[in-house]
Amino acid sequence: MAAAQVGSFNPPEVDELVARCKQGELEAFDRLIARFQKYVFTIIYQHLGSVDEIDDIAQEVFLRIFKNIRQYREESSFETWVYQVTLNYIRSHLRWKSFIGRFFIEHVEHGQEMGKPTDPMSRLCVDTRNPASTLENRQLADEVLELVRGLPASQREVLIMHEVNDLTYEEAARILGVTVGTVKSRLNRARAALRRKVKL
Amino acid sequence: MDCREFKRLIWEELDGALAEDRLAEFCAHRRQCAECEREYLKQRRLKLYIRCFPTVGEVSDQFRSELLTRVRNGDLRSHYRLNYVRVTATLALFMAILVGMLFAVNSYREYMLESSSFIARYPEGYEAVRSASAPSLQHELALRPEPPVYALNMPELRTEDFVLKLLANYRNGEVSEQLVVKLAVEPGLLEGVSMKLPERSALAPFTGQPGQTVVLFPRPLPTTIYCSVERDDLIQLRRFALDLISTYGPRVTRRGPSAQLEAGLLPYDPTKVEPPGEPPAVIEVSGAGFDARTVPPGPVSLVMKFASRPQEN
Repeated sequence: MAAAQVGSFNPPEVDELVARCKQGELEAFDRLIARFQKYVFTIIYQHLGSVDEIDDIAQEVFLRIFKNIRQYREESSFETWVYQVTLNYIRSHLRWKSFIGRFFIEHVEHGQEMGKPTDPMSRLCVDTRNPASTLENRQLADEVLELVRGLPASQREVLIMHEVNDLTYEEAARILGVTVGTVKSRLNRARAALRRKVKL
Repeated sequence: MDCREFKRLIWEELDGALAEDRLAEFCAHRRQCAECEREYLKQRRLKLYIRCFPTVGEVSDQFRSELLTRVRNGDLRSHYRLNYVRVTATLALFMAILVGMLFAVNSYREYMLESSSFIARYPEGYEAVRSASAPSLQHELALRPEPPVYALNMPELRTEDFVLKLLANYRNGEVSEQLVVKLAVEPGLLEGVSMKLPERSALAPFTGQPGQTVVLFPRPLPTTIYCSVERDDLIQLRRFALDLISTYGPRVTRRGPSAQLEAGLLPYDPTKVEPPGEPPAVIEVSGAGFDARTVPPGPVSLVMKFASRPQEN
């Protein structure tokens, strides 16, 4: 999805929606959400590996997008920028979920405040693009999944960006704020680590 | 292309980033080397499995409507908020620990300063002269006429410095009042001596101003002092003398012939071998020959000798 739009950055309709969002139009924001919500949910799910609080996290990501959309300078595709915002929020979230973070950060349930039940699981349909059909292959796919999630964050992020989300080295480097060489180096380390651990 | 290079280029090939000429070499090697071919297939399979990462299928419209409701209501605050009570409590705890540590450090620093906080000032024209305290008749009678006589030889330490250190250690509780009385009060070393205590304020420990006590000696103190002390006092004096040596350095006490005592006492002779069973006539309190077990009960005679001229710094 990202790679297809890198050359021209954004399709015209996205540019228009972004411009209207910058003017504070809620309807344009609504359409942006509709367009990118699956993308954002997927990024969160892939990086966090859990659907606990995914609904809240996605809401926070979109609120950040809404608040900071004026900072989008169109130097990259909007999708890349959304990926960057989402990944930054995921990193913050992981810090808050750490031992010290849990002590200082409290989670306020907006859904309950509004009197609506929150059940993200009921709204999500998590599937995979797994071509494996046999049980053995399925198990191996799960094993690879676990191993990827066990990688150091820096390697895992690059691997998911490049291998799963098809981002180019340049896009990954821009999102992470590192050089292309660093991205390649991290990717190579991640692949080598997986190759060592997976018994194929 | 060798196997090592082939393996290095596998991921590049799988990414589709291999140049055409290199790709031809790569394919040729694959056909020739069965092991490299197997490795290539394994890594291709791994890439496929990595790409099997789960994705989210559909997200319901409820998510969007909830989010828009929040935006319309102006509720842009995060779900995750700082717990101010815990943050404040933690900061307060850290501050308390920090302040406590500061006070502890300063208390320790003050304690360390105590032992060197006394400084001496002398009246104009003051010059220490060789002299000996003239014990009163009563005092003289109290001295044991028979050996052993205990001696404290500190030929490079002024009597005033000895007194200052004694007072400082007394203030720290390291020296008993009785020892001060025996060594300084009874020989009359503190007669007419006045002390000027430092001005203390609550912030003094943090401003780095040393709290020094000025002791004024109205006259030169004698360089040789005779006194009579109890066994426990002598043992305590030995500890104090060793403390003096550690404070002022080993030159405070000079062993050997120069440590000879005057006033009719038997001189110290290191070459002289004492007959077994008989204690030496003069025993140096700070020396290795001092044995607390051999100190006789009751009062014993003590002679202390100090520098005859002001010490040069």
